[in-house]
Amino acid sequence: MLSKYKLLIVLPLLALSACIDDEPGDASKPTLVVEGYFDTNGFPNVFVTFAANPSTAEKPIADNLVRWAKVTISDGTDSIILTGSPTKRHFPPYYYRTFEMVGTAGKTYRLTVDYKGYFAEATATMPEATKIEKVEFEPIAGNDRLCATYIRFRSPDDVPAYYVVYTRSVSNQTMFQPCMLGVVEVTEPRKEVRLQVYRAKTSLKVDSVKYVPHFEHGEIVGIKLSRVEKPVYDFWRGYTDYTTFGNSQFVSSTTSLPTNIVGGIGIWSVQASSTVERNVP
Amino acid sequence: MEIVQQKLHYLSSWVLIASATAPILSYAQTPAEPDSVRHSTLGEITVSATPATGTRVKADGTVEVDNLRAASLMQVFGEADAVRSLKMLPNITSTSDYASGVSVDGADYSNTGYSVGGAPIFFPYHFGGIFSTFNSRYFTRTKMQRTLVDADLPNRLGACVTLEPPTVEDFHGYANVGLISSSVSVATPVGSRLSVAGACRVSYINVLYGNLLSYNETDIRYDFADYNLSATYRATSRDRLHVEFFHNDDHLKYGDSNYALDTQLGWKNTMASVEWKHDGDAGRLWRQNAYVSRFASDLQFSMVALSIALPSSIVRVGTVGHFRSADSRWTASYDLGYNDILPQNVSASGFVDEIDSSLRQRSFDGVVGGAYRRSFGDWRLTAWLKLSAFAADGYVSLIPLPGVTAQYSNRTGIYTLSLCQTAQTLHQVGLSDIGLASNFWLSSTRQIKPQRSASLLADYARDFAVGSCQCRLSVHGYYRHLNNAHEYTGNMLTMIDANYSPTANVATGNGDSAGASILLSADVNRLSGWASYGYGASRLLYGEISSERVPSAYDAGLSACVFLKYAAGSHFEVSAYWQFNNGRRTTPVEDIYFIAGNVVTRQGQRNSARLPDYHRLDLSANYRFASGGKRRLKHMISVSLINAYARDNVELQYYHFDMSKYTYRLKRVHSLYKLMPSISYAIEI
Repeated sequence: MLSKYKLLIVLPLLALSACIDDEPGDASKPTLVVEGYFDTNGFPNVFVTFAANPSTAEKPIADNLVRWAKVTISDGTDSIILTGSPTKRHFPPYYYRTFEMVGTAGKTYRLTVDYKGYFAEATATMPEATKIEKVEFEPIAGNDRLCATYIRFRSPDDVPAYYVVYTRSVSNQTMFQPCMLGVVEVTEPRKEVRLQVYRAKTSLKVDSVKYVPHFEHGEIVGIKLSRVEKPVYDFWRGYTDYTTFGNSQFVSSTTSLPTNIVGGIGIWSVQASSTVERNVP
Repeated sequence: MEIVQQKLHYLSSWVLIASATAPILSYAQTPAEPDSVRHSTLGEITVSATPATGTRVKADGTVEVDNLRAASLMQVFGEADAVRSLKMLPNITSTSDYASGVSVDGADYSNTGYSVGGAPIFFPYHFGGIFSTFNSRYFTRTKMQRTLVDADLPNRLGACVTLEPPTVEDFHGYANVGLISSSVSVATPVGSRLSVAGACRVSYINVLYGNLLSYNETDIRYDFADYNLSATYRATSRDRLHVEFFHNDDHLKYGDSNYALDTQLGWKNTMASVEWKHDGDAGRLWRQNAYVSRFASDLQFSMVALSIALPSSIVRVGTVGHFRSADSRWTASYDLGYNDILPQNVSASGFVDEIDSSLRQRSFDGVVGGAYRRSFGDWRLTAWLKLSAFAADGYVSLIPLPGVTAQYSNRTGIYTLSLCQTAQTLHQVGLSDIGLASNFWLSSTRQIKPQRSASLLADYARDFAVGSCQCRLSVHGYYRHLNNAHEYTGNMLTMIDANYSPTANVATGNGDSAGASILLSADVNRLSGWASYGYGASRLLYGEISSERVPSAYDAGLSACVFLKYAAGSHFEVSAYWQFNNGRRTTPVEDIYFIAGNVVTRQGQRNSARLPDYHRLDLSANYRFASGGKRRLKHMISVSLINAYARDNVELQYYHFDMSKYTYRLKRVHSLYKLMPSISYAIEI
């Protein structure tokens, strides 16, 4: 994701802005953006920012960070307040987390965000995880550097089942991000699914760097297959359509991404995940 | 026919004056001769003259373009497009430099019909907006009618553009060589009864302008060819058999490295028609034709291992008839046809399951009707009643389409008012906002009912002189109430769902459009031209998309243009055309934010914003000379410059992340047409 060099720019900006009121200086009330992830057997990570609008777009993005929100997760029994801290491995580079709650299949998790009169909440249930049975690699004809990557898994009995696939480059120390075209709905029980996975696309690059969807020989890749609820799947499907085909003259898109956040936008992605790491041969 | 009751204007040649008035003069000068001399009573005289610009706006808003004269009007890359001549008039627009389509009075592109040889052409456009829609030199005349009185025109909600095939009296040949395309047309009599005409055009824009079409992350490759062929057999002095054939083949490739996405789009029109025309006694006319017209497109996306193909097609087999009575007051007409439509035949591979789905629609539709025309002193009335019928899969629709036009003429001008109901049973929808060929045709169904429109059109025209300057003032106003407008609501991933159905992704709405324009045209000595100003608004309510009425994609807003042509002697002429339009409708961005490392946006109300205003100046100069002996060869060298002051007209805009400043930034994709010169050479015999 972000190179260390670029983080040297971002983190000082973050530090310098520590004394600045987080709320963007715009007369209209900005929209709260919540991006939360909670994996099976994992810990929750929640990113909270304000959205920019056309009048504030060219202000430093650090102005949109929310660093003093009260972020709470409840599983119906316990309620935990998350702690905010900077992070080098994600953008925006500030998140809220806790090690006091572990993701458990079958539980319903409610997220609330409370900040200076802004209040957002979301609820999602963690299904049972589906295991990645196999990872396959195929050389790409005419290219001795890149390799096509596939995963195989078998759908559960309780269909329809909805999946989001994340990938990361362990070699390049990036975080898991939804891979391109990494959403699939399976309606047939016990069906063997073979799905090609790609490197995630990112806006965090200079224009001259072209997007390369495949992984390279010798690269260590991480692949996460996450089963999610339909509302979460709908969000990631819209996200995939937007980032894959958006801004094309042939395919105009005038609809916004759906959201399961009430009082804001974004996603509370509670997901039952199965993760593997492989060395691309 | 239009009765010219005012003083003659727009006569560009004394020969025309002489030929028009000679019968009157000769009649007036004929002394009282013995019975051996035949006497006739002249009931009505019609004189029509073509302005120097080649484009005439009639009193009822109908536009006629003399293709030959318009050819010298505004050559762009060696092409003079009759359809572009239409777009130079107010309330007739395209919303983008790359748009494929013409919106008349705020209507959808697919509401404009095209007819060649009596047969419909479903999608005659080429990509990029710089190529002539048809090979204009092949056709004699282009006519655009806003009020569709007779039933033998394509059943469309808006206007109909008819291209008149050539009438061959003598051998004629024309060849044009330009920087982006070349064309040739030949017409010749064969014996005393038969004549044939043919034309061919090919483009090679990639050869010289390939680098221009590659810009930053995008790369465009485009080529096309079109062919026209006709034959006319004069069986008797009153009977004529005419065969017409048309074919075009377009190919477009678009690559965007930001998305690792390659797009290929190919489309074809093929049309063949046979028409028999009988000129009966005392002005009776009977015209009958049979035709087949096919449009097919194939949109393909390839992204790494994923490939999606979306071919679609429509084939219509039909017959058109038109009968006119001896006194020209009564006409009866019909258009009956059978449609075989593949809206989208989706096939996808490389994404979980292989997808291969197809939906086929078969339908019958037709329009029959009659019209009555009568003059009462200064008044001229036309009334008509048509019936639109449609049947498919147990669904039947019958829609009466009445209409009336009243025209009043006096010294102050010609006032025309039209009220009519129109319907359209074939619809074109898709993912593109600028009407690309990837948008597919759909038949009406129980859920996707025929579109209907009730229209009120008002026109005023007055010819007058200011010194030696002959002028015409035209004012046009319109209001249309629209029912059952259709909009596609799917997206790319929707199409590769296993249970995808294109008809399940269509929203239906109602709305209104209204507008007005004023056009002042003038001819004085060597200078001719026009200036216009117009405004149009269009609002639609699609309950599935929004709870509020939203502007339509064809909401034109303000438009203005100035066109000037100066003939500096008999060899040299220059033209300048400046146009202004409010920017194309776009859905505004309300929020910009990051999710999972990517910039995403939340949209505001659909079509509630506009791109920056569009304007540009095009310049053209023609130099003509002749050579040869008995058979003179006419030569023309044309030089043109598109967007002479390099206006950055915006085609598309979106937000991205500026890594150098760590801010969001609005990125605008501009039209490639900026200071684009061209030169072409044409020879005519």
